[in-house]
Amino acid sequence: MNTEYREVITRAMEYGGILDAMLALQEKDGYLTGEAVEALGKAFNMFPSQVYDTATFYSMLKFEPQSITEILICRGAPCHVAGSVEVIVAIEKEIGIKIGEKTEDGRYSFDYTECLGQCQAAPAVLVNGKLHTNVTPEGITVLLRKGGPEE
Amino acid sequence: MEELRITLRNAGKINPELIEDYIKVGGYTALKKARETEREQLINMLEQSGKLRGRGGAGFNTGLKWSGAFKAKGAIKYVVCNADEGEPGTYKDRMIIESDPHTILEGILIGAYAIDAKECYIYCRGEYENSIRILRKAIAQAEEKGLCGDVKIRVHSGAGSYVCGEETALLNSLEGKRAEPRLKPPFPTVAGFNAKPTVVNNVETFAAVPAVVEKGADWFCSIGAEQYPGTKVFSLSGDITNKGCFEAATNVKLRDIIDEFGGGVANGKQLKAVQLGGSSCGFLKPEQLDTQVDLDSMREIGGSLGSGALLVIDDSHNMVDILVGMAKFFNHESCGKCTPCREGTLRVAELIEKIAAGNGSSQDLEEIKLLSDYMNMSAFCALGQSATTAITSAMALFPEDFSAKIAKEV
Ligand SMILES: Cc1cc2nc3c(=O)[nH]c(=O)nc-3n(C[C@H](O)[C@H](O)[C@H](O)COP(=O)(O)O)c2cc1C
Ligand code: SF4
Ligand code: FES
Repeated sequence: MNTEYREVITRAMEYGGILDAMLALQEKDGYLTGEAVEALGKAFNMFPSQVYDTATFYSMLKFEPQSITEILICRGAPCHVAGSVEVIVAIEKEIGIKIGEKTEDGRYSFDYTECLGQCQAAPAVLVNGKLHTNVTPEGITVLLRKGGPEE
Repeated sequence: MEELRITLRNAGKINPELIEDYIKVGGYTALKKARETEREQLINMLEQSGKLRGRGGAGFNTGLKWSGAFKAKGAIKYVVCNADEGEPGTYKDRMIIESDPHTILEGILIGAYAIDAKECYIYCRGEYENSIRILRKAIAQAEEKGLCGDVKIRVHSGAGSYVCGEETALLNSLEGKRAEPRLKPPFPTVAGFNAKPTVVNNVETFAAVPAVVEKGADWFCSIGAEQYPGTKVFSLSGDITNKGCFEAATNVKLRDIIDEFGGGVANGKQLKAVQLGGSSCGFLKPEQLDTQVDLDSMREIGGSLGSGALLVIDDSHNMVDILVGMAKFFNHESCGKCTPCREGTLRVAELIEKIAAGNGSSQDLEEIKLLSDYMNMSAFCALGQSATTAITSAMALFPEDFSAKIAKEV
């Protein structure tokens, strides 16, 4: 078993549970690799199939490499009321795909997420996991233009 | 009108990341007092006279729940704090955690003493990275000060699933499984985490416990509505001037929360509808707002208190457009365990989307009603049972919005 994976899992188990370990492994590789799943199985005394059984339930966990820039916009009613539709239109225009799609070059993916619990500052958008609140169509366009992957 | 703060009493006044600050304002004295009280007497105080009802939505008597777990057989028992907060429009638990994590820990530790549990878990939604960090830091500080004794508290992250907020699904998730709800009974108080007696309470419920223990049941019962005493934290969103969390006694009128705390509808527009409790709850019309916000009064007028999420909608919106996202939310979050919910939420979402796009017919409306009845009757858990509540409520209250969308029909 890859010692690096084991270390990540051991550390996560000190402070949390199996989902913490999965998220930590995902943080490392960008998604849950087959090796990571095997390491989880060993650590938690589960078959790899059982690890998949659990992991595939949760929308934050991924099983294949992700686009360089992942954009997620909140679908919650408070964000809708605050004008998320206009922001969606602006993002679609800027990156040239519809919501729910990925660009062919693997640079962008754009999708919905459920309420992020930031409804006091709606609409809310996640760009590679980083939270942006009170987003406007102009603001998001500027952000995406200047933003590389790490933005 | 002034806010009345119990669970948010320290918010903005102390540094949430310093246990010394919390102790300076009297923190952890309730824990000491609780530990000097007989377990049965402590639980009785909460149950009989305290009437602290769960703030996670269902409003179950907290003392009664604790007494169930206390009386349940078994040497190993658990306390679980539900910080999954996924109901759209709800962010009050995050506010409480991020402004005063120690009051939650103190509540959890009192619960652990009451039922004699040695292990406690806080299940926090994965999106709340900052909340998780703050909680873990607070636990480390409390341990260092020796306040936990032989009780361990751990924070487990969720990973993006709304149904995990349902207590039995949460327990499955904690056990490392898919978060599908379990059949009840047995209730968690009898067979919860690892099939051992377990108390599951909401963040806000735990946050109220130290104040109740410290100031007593009579004090608590003198506040708010008779059958649902105390305060409730509301998270305001939508077309309202002041968005944010406000805590009020439960006998305050809904209109006052909107007008006094919320500053009324934003941009001088007219109020059209209010949704209290989140996307799984119905709408209310402006003329229904002169009602007390407590759980029972809200139920009487066909609404719910739910999580305390308060969405304000002005008259520039057609309700059908708002319902599309809600219907898709339930479809996305359905765990897939039972057919009525798995298939029903999909069909309802398709139908609402079709109507919103102007391609619907009155027959589609009838079909939604039919599906909704089926789901209400036969879905396995409350997610499926309440997935269409907002839609059927909007149909009853705002039929004109639906007719406007299907106007093309001859
Ligand atoms: C679909 C669904 C989602 C729920 N989400 C939450 C939640 O995010 N937080 C919460 O405290 N309770 C949630 N509940 C209610 C819990 O099942 C449970 O009643 C609650 O945690 C008990 O705590 P309380 O008595 O302190 O309110 C949810 C229930 C259902 C059916
Ligand atoms: S009602 Fe929905 S969420 Fe609940 S068990 Fe059935 S499929 Fe799962
Ligand atoms: S609805 Fe978008 S953050 Fe809550």
